[in-house]
Amino acid sequence: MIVQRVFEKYLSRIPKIILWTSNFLFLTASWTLFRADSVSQAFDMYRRILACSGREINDYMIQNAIPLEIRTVTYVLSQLWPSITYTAKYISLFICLSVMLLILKGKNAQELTKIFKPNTKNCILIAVLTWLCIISFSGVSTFLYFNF
Amino acid sequence: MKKWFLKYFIIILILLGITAGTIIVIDPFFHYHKPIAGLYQYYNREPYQNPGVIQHFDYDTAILGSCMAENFKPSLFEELLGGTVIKTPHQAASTYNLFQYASMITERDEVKRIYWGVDIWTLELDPSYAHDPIPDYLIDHNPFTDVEYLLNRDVFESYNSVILGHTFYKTQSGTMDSAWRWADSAVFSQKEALETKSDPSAFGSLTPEQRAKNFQENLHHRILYLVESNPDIEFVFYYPPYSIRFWKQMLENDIFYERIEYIRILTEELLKHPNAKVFNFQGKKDIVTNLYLYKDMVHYSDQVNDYMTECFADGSYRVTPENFEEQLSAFVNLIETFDCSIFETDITTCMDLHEYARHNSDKYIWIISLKQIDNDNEGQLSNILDTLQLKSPQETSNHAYWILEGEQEVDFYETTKNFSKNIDYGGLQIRISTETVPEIAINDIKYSSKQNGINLVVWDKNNNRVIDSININERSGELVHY
Repeated sequence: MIVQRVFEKYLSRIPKIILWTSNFLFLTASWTLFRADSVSQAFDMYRRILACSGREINDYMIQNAIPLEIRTVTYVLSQLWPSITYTAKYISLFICLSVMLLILKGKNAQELTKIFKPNTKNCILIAVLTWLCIISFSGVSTFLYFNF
Repeated sequence: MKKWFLKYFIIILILLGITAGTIIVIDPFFHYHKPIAGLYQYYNREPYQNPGVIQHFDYDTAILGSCMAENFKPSLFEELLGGTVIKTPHQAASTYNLFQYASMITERDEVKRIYWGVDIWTLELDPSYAHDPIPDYLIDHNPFTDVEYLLNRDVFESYNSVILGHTFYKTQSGTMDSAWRWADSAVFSQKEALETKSDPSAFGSLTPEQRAKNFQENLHHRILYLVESNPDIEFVFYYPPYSIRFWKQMLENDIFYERIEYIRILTEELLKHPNAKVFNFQGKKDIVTNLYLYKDMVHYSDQVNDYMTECFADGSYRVTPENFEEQLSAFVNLIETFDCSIFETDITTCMDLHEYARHNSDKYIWIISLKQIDNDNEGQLSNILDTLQLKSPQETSNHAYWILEGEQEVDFYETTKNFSKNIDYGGLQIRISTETVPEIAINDIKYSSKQNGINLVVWDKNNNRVIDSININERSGELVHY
């Protein structure tokens, strides 16, 4: 944030997509430090990421990284139309990209508060979202079976 | 705005109430009650569901262990040993994990017996280390922390939907036999057992001194503590049979004799207690040296679990003060002297079908099954059968078997539909089946892949063992070793 404030004039000239990408990479790199048990483990993680050894990511890990909602959509689609089982994941990817576009193009929370008018419709919507947030605090951890 | 907030909070409270209420009724973790009759029983996460099973199910016998215990059938225990049995294994369980479960089990007055699978290396770990720990809110007897269960999104969305979905579609419900079981989806193969890399000694980098200290603490404050404080409960400890390859690796890593010493100390201590029994299956040569019973270095097939259950019932492989030293020496001798080169021969590394066919000799008996799926593929199938010098079945027959001794065909059978045949061939009890999954079993041990196409099992007459098992794809002729 400090960098952004100090260099705002220069940063504004850089295309947004580059800023987003660099912001994402910076966050990923810095959060790795919090995720790791020690600094040396964090550096080990960086080393492995940057090594680009080309090893496949464990399929089980990929499956568990996919949000439940996307898995549900994929499952329901493949149940309704079994012939699209193999393309269902691309439909899910399309949904993800659409939602991303909606988020990027739509108004953010600060902008929405300025035009907010209380009514029954948004009361229900916000209550449901709050409920989802509350129950999302608790989950069931995924067991990753690497080193029996 | 006040009204809006009031409505907002009322809606949230209603939604939270529905969430908690649904979870209390369905109770996927069995935290409040036994499974409701008619509701699908979904076993998915051991640390979350085992505490509920222990606290609310009816039983007098419990089976504990790591994934080595997951394929036990409580119904077989009940049939052979009597009682009512539950199974609460824990993948990659540390001693502390099992201690936690056993402590909960001993709180139940009706419990008479606990089976405990001892993975000896877990006694080298920190006695307070819990692998994939049980969430505190499930075992702390504090109703306020239950909020983590009652307002849990994964439980509400995933577990409840799976349970209700399966109940609606009347799917066969999970049972204690099927709970946590992985054997049905596993492929037990010599090749996998030889190739899979696993390093059970890599629980951190503990020094021998740390391991010894942890062992003593686990022994006295976990295992012996439980045995001594529950004299009315019989504890049956068993050492599961890991494959010869695992022990050979321990030998190479210079940790074998240390672990043997731990087995010796633990067994000696346990044998001093009248309420403790010990079974040691690690020296069972025909199991540990048959890699077709393993899916990697340590994980054995459900047939081994069934065999161990029979042993618990008839007392085979029970360790007593009289036979203990003899048993352990025989085991050490087996590991030191067994020649693992028999697993890797020219035939087991051959990837070309023509070359493979040239390996056929009088030393071997070839048992071959065919389950043909693609009828438009006769040309390629004929080529494969010609290469193997096998008589081609009639065009309508897409199921067949052949038994060859050297190049001589000694048995042939063809049919248009799935079959299952039991053949007594020179003392070998052979079962060949193409029903559901193709299967070739010799002396009740399954050797072939579970794949369609051609399965070929090579029995070595000199060594009295299967030395190779392959599947040949009927379309491509591709050969895969198992």
